[in-house]
Amino acid sequence: MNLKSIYKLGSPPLFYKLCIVLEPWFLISSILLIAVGMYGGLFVAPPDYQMGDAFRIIYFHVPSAYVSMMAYVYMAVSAIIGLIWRSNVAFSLAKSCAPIGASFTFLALITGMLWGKPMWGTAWVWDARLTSELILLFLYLAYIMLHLSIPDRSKADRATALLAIVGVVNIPIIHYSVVWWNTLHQASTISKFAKPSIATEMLWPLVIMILGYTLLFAAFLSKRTAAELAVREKRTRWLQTLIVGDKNNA
Amino acid sequence: MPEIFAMGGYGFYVWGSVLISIAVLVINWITAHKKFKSTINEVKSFISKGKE
Repeated sequence: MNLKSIYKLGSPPLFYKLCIVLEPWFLISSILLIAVGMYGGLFVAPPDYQMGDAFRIIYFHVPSAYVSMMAYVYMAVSAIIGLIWRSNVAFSLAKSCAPIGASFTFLALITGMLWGKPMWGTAWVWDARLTSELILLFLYLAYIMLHLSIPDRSKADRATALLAIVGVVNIPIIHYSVVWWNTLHQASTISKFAKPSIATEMLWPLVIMILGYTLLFAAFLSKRTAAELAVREKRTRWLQTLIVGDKNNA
Repeated sequence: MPEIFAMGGYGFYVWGSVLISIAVLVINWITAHKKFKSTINEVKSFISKGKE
């Protein structure tokens, strides 16, 4: 992909059409992957020798935690692009990431608590991993509330972009918290740079679930970004032509 | 079959995670879909107001 085609993606009509076309494909492929991953995780993978069947929560907890952080990075990168190029597409993407990211963060926290209760004897401890993930949820909520509280959209875009950029410092803290501090939370199961610490028959459903959740995030993001772009571009001829047809705009 | 629900004594936690995950993901899709539909209707009414 050259620089010219990246610039083209900044065009609202092209991006809107791309969202509309890709959303059902993202949705269908994610549902299929999640169904296979769930079957593999709940029924095919053997129980863990220490945690027994409770370890199966990993198939819901890890993908949601992964997407919760990925969504924030997307939000921050879109915010930077929006600030530099004043791009409606980038600001729409950033704004759409927030509610989706918040919901995945909520899921990561809840499934983590459901894992923690039988394994650690407590659903919550103020250790570095859990606390930094909770801060991530607050960052998403702060972004949403800040956007709602500023009536002028361009001012709201810029203010929330700054918040998203400042908050991105929390992402490496979440990721490395289990390395930097002595936490109750275990170390990473899958690492880019090291051999996975779980058996292959336990690993493949996890990889499929992570892929499925990522595609599901892409589906939600496409739908929400298309809606956000439609609000921002409602005065433009291209959108009116798309929505009500050529003859009405003639 | 009961073993599947029991999950070695961790049934509440495992199936609780499954149900909450499915519920949140479905709600996520419904809200995104509703937002899109209401936006399109908003744009349609904006266009028709502009024509009056």
